[in-house]
Parts: sequence; structure tokens; C-alpha cells
Amino acid sequence: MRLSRPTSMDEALGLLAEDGEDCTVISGGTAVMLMIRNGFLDPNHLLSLDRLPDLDHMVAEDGQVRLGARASLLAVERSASVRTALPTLADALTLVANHRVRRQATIGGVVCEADYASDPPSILMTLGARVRLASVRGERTVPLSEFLLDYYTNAAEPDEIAVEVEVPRPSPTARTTYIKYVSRTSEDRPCVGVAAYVDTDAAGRCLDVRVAVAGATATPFSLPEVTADVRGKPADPTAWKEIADAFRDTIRPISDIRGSAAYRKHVTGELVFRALENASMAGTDGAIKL
Amino acid sequence: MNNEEIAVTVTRGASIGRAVDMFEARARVDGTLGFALNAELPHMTFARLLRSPTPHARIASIDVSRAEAMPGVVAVLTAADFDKDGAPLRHYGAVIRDQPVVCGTKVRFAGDVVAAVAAETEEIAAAALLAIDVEYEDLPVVAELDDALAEGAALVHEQPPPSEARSYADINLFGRQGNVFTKFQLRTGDLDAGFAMADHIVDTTYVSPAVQHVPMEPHVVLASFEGSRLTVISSTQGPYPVRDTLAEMFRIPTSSVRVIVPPLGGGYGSKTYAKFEPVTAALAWKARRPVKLVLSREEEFLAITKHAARIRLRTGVMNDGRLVARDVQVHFNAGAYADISPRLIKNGGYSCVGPYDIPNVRVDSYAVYTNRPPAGAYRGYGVSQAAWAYEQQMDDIAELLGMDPVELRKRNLLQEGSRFATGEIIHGARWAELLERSAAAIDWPKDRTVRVDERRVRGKGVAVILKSTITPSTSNASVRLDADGSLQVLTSSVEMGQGAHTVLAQLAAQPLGLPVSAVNVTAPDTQYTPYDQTTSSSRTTRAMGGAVTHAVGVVRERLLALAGELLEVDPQDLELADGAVSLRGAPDTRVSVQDVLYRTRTGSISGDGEIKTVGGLDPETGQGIASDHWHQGAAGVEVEVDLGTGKVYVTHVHTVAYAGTVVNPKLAKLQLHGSMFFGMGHALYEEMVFDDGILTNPNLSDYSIVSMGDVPPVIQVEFLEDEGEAHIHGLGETTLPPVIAAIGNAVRAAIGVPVTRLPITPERVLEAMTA
Repeated sequence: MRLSRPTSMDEALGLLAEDGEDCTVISGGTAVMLMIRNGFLDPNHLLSLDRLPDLDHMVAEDGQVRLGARASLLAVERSASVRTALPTLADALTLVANHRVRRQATIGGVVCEADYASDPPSILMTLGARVRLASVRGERTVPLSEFLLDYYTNAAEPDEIAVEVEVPRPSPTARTTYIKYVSRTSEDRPCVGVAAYVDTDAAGRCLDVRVAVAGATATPFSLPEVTADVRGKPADPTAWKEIADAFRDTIRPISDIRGSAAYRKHVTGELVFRALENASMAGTDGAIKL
Repeated sequence: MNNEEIAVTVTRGASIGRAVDMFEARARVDGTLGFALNAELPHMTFARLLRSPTPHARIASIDVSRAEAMPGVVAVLTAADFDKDGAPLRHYGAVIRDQPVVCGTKVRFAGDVVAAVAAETEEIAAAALLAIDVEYEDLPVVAELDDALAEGAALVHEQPPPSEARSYADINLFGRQGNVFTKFQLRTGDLDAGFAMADHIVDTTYVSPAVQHVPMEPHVVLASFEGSRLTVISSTQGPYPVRDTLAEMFRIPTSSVRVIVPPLGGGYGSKTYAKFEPVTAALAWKARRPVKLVLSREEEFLAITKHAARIRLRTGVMNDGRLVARDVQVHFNAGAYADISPRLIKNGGYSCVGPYDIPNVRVDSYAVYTNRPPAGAYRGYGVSQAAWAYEQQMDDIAELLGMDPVELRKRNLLQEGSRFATGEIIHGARWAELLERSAAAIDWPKDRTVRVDERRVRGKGVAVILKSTITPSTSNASVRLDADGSLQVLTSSVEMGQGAHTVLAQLAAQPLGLPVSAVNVTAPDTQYTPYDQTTSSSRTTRAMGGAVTHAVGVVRERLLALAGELLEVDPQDLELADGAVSLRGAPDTRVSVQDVLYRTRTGSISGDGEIKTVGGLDPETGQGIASDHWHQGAAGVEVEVDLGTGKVYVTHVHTVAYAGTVVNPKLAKLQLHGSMFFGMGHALYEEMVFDDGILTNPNLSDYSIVSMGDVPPVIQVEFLEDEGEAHIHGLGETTLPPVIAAIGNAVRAAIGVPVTRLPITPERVLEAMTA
């Protein structure tokens, strides 16, 4: 296996353009190294981003927060500007794996891995995040909802590197929340995770409601038509129950050691309700682990 | 002598009862300790094992020629290398020689070893495995108890070999039929009369899954031959059993096998008896080079497991709560090979009676071969499965009778002088006091069931257990006092993180008036350190501690005799403290230990000690002596249950053990903490999940163990100790089983119905509530 550690983006993109399909990009390595070790991945060429300058930036701008692909989860979690702008994301990262993993894993790696049992993608999805991709052909930006295609599959072309995750700031009147539900021990991955975004008007009516469920399906599960349906209705348990029931009835979850499909359906309904309830209460931005 | 008289007594003093820091604690944590993993030899090669992908199959053919031709491959071991002139025997086993070093005609579990490679590097060894071609012809898989016990079930072993001629005194094989390879039975009183008398009969079946020990350090073996002499450095809990197995396998005298055991990074029972020493030694024999084997985490899951078990308890009870009859049927899923199951099913069998005085009892406990990884010793040794059953059922009975569960237990607990179901008379019964302490710690019976809010309920539960230790058993120790005033303790007890060597040093130091820091405890080396049966069964501090105490007593006597001559006083009037001998009442008449040896031209003083307990049970009636002393423990637990998700949150655990005398309070407390967290894992999280015999979660992402984030907000451990001169009681495992059962009972109190299958997953909680 060839290991290359380019020192400039041009060099990295050039190498990737040459080797394309046979090349795997490695960032923090928490996922790639496990896959190689377990024989799921056997790349001819491992292209490491570790010597690239400037890919670990975290910039809070007026409309959005830009996170360099190589920013570690720990750095994002501890950045004061990210925490102010995106409190739920920063808070949720504290619940991912353990300190050692978070110090190593990167935000770009998390979105590119497209792991169904990962917490951040569902939160990023409710925030409307986009992934900026670069290649020798130029750059493009893809909404995360279109970037995540299937289990461990993303929409990047073989010659593209994800260089940045752009996260729009939530509306100033919006509340966000994430519930990470682990059905086993505290360091387990989510059985079901629910990210919610609730924006209401001054009269307490729903303006913009978004929900994404992690851990239960190939990619974060959402029902945009259902959540759009409550627009204009009072932000109250009746609306939340309507949404929660729709999620429970519609989702086709996987069955694994963390819970059967039937159980995950039940828990999805339960937790979508709780996440919306949390998000509709003033001052409850943030993430909790159950 | 009876066991009471055989056991030594100790008194708290200069070192016994002190919270001495564990020897080498820092090196153990930072990894600089000389673990087997760190061992290397010149010209060492690296081993990898080729494992069967299928649970049950005939081996139609095996071709290793491509692997053998690979550069860097030193040896490839297959069944063809064994059982001929000058070659080792292919089968081994602690009790029944049923386990092949490498499989010959068939494989019996997915993970069974079919070939082994030694190569210049691990990478070459791994690549060589891929170049071995094996053709399998699948056989029907019997991985679950019901499959294995069915009429006409495929046999895991068509003709299992008989018991070893020289196995263990407490083990008798009995009742072999089909896939049942041995059973244990107990008969006492008149069962029919007991049931006829009973006002109620409660009949419940409880299920425990296979779980894995997950020691931080995997199994590691480094084997080398020098002529026909074999040296093995191994992460084993049993240097002598490993020595004996290897000597038998290579048909050489036991004195030609040397087993060296560096400190272990945890064992929990997984490293008792020969495990991977046979295959590594066979590779070294064939390679004519040292060979080192280190199991991966995935392989560790295939090495050995806790027994999955199904326990049916039919208990007859009177309206006043008295238990009058119990009929027990236990099936232990032993996996593909016997390992130490014949003993475990015995202990797990009679333990189903619990710490209760039940006059009429029948126990039938079966060891069942299946196409699963072998099951063996696991911290708790059959008792956690048993206690999960009988302590859950006690709460069933309490509910049926409308009686407080603590009160029900107290009416039935064994008392001083009670006769246990095995016929032995109980001395030192402290169960009632232990139970009361755990109950008081959780403020029982106040708020036993509380609705916290619309989503949460709270519940409390207790459990109390009895556990045995291997009986009869033997431990020997040698000690040597050197002229510099240091004491060498030669023992084959293994330091595996439990602090055994620190505690043995404390026991050795006090009678000689030496500081603990003057005592060196050697790592086991069968060439030098005397016999010990095994480091398991919570027996080291009591059994080996007793042997060390005797050995030190011999040295003390000789030291005082020499000092008496020197000081011209009667040795009886001398005492030892602070590294010196002095005349009682006249402390100025004194001489240092160094000076006693120097001035009498004594180079060193040696002493030997031995503890050899007595007992054993009749295999057909279960009558006799099951344990040289009884481990007694209790737990009290508070939980909260989320009614929406079914998840159980443990908020408070209290455990207490009868300790006699605690030698080291700090290490004893940590032992109980360990038991607590293991118990939580078994109660709530851990389960090896098999799909038609294939393990689906052999890694620490899919198999969930307790971590720091799971430690309950309130944890308490306590010891019940005797005043003055007293025995030492084993502590290593005593409070693991009651934690599991107490969690179960707390959940039951919270949700109003029992969950009878472990682990108590959120899904099972919801199922129980809606059933």
C-alpha cells in the first residue's frame, strides 16, 4: 500500500486525479483504520490529509459557520464561536464516542464516512449543512442531504476531496436539539438519534420545523412533507404527536444488536416527540444522551 | 482435620488490614510492566491460527502446500503432524481430552482451529493463512440447547473420550448421553412429600446468555524447545495445570516443561487451564524455533465464554413463606469442548438452592455440547446464572404471598448449624446480616416502587447469594529469609491485577516483623515456585495466603531459635517487630534480623507451607462437602426505568461481602467495584449473539461492556468482618452474582413484572410490560 502525505491542496488533488478509484483519502483515521484492519477496505493508495495546511479552520461568518474538513470533533466541540452559533452541534459532539476518538476524528471524515450510526450528520442535516468538494476540475457545493447516499456511500466523485462543511446559522428565533439514545452502554453508538429544529413566530405558531433521525436507516431519515405540514399550526404537543406518529409509521428501520426494527420504530416515535418538545421549550438548545 | 481447622487465622496488625498500595500499580497502568505481550526471544517467530468459518463440518481436505512454499513461512501445523512416533498427542483437556490442538476430521465451532502457521513476521503468517485451502462438508448445526438436546440431534462429539485418569478430586463424570457429556445431581429429603405439603408451587425458567470475559490483555503464549525441554511464557491463571497438560501432550516428564507466568492484564477465568499453550508449543516443536502467539480481540471472543444457561426452578412454598421443596433443572450450554464444564455444572447445580434451608431438593444439572465456542470458568463460576434464577424467583414468591421480599428471604436463610442441601453443616452463617445491610443501604422498604414522572419509574431490589470455592484443593508456598533482611515468597499464584502478590506480601511480612517493602513475591515459574492448583475461585488470599503463613511460621520459629541462642533467652519470650527481634517487656534486649543471620553465620532461612482442603460431593446424590468455606454476599440496587424506551438506569448499588478479615481494604474494595461493574454488564448489556452458531458481535463496537460513563451515581461496598483473630474469606467473585439478580429485582419492582432473560435490554423491558 502506498501512503502519500501531500503538503499542498494542489498536490493532493493531483494525486487523487491520477489514482482516483484506487485511492482512499484518510483524515483522522478513526474509521478508515478500523475498516482496513477488519479487511473491509484494502486501498492501493492511502492519501493522508495530515500535512495539508489550513484545513482545520473554524470560521463563524454572518450567515454560516465554515468548518475545515480536518477540524477535529474535539476542536469543533470546544470552539467558543461554534458553540455560540451552533450550540446543539457543539453539545452533541461531546456525546460522540470518547475523548480519544474525538481528538482524532474530523468533521470532514464524519460526513464522508456516511456511517448510519453517527450522530453529527442528522444534526447537520436539520441545520441545512452543505459539503464543499474540490478536485482538479474545480469546486462544487452539495447539500448534505444529497451528499449522503447510502450506507457508507457519499456523492463525492473519485477525484474529489471534501474540504469544508458549511453550516448555515439557525434562524435567531429557532431552537435546536438532539437526543442521542443509546440502548446499551454509555459509549455505544446511537440506537436512534433525533435532531430537531423548531422555528416559531411570536404567536407560537410553527414557521419551520425539521427533524432527522440517525442510527435507524442508511442515511438520516426525515419527512420534509410531514414537517412542512405543521407550518402555521400551534407549536404544541398536538403538532409534535402528529409528526412523531408519522415518523413512527413511516420509518423502515434496520434491525441489529442495538434494537430490532419494531423496537426502533417505537423508539423513533417516542423520541421524535421528545426532541420536538425539548426544542419548543425556550432555552433548551443542546444535546442530551438517554 | 476439617476445613475450619485447616484454614489459618490472621490478626490485623502492622501490615494485615492495611491499605497498602498495589505493587507495580503505575507500571501496570503505563504498560511498562513485563506482560507476556512484552516478552521476546532470539529467533522468535510469529503464529497465526486458521479458524473454521463454519460451526459444524467434516474437513474433506486440507492443502497447505502453497502456504508452506511462501518465503518467510517457518512451519505450518495440521492434524497430520500429531499422534505418531515422537509427535505430540493431538487432543487435550482439563478433564476430558476432547479438544484438538488443530482439528482433524471435523470442526465443531465457527472459530475452531484447523491449521496454524509460524512465520518470520505476523504479516507473513497472516498471508499464509489465506494460502491454505480447506474443503468443508457442512454438518447439521446444533448451537442452541434445544437443538443439541433434541431427539436424534447431530452429535458434536460422536465418541467423546473418557475422563482423564488423573484429573481433579472433586470431578466425577456421570450420566453421559447424546450431547450431554456429564451431569451433576443432588438428592436430599423427599421431594414428592415436600411438594405435596406445599401451599403453592412456583415454576419459572430463567435464561442467561453466553458472555465474554474481555480481559484487556488477550491470551499470549511464547513457547520454545531446547532439545526435549519445553519452556512456555504464558498469560495463564494456572501454571501447573498448563504444565501438566503440555507434559502429557508431548509425552515428556512434567519436570521437562517449564511454565513462566508474567503479571496478567486481567483473566476473570478466561485464562484457567491450557488454552493456546498446546497449539503454540506444537508450532514451536515443528518450527524448531520459538513461537509467539497473541490473540486478536476477535479471536478472544472465540477462546472461551461464560456458559449460556437455562434454569428451571420449581419451588414449593408454604403460606408463611417457608420453602419446603425445590426441583431444579439446569442446562449449561458448554460449547464444543468440555474445558472445565464438569466442575462448573456441579457448582452451578447445587448453587441453585441458594443460601436457603430447603429440606427437600432435587437438582439435575447438565453439561451440553453444542457447536459454539467452548464455555468455561467465568468470574462467578455458574453461580451468577444460578443466582439470577433463584433470587428472581424469590421475588416471584414474595409477590405471590404478599410478603416483603427481604422478610421472605430472612425466613429461609441458612443459619448457624443449618444443614445445606449437600448435607454439610453451615458454620459462620452471616447471610441475614448481609441482606439487612444491603436493604438498609437502599432504605428498604421505603419507596420500593415509585412513579417519578410520566416517563420514569423507580424500583428497588435486593439479592443474597452463596458461592463455593474449589474443594478439595491444594496450595504450596516456600519462603526464604535472606541475610539482608529481605523475604522471598515463592508462589505459583498469579498476579493478574487483583493484587494477589501485594496481599501475599502483607501476610508474609507481619509475622516476621518486616516491612511489606522487604518482601519480594516471585512470578510463577514451575521450575522453581511450588505447586498451586489455580489462581481462580476467589481462593488465593485464603488458600495461598494460608500456605504462605505456614511457611513464614517455619522461618519465624528458626529465626527466633537463633536469636534466642544469641541473646541467651528463651525464644518463647521473643517478639518480632520493625525488622528486629526483641525480648518481650525488655525492648532494649534486641538484635536486628540481619544481625541474627550474620552473627550466627546463617545465609538464609527457608520454610515451606501447605494448605490442602478436604471434601467433595457424591456425583449421584450431591452429598458431601461442596466448599471449604462459603462465600456470602448481598446487593441492594435502585434503578429508574424509562417507560417510553424501556431503558434501565442504575442509580445506586450497594454490595457487601463477608470477609472474615480483610487483608488489604483498598484492594478488597476495588475487587468489589470490579464485581459490581461486571454484574451490571451481565444484567443489562452483555450478550454474545449467535446466528446459527456464528458469533455476530465479536468486537467491542457490537459487544457492549461497561465503561466509566455507566458507573451509577451512588456506589457503595462494605465488608462484614470478624473481630480479632479470624479466617480470611474469598472476595474476588462474591458480589458479582447478587448484583445481577438485585438489578433484575429492582427492574421488576419498577415495572411490576419480571424480565426472565438476561441481559435486561430496553426491548425486553417493553416486551415484559406489554406481555
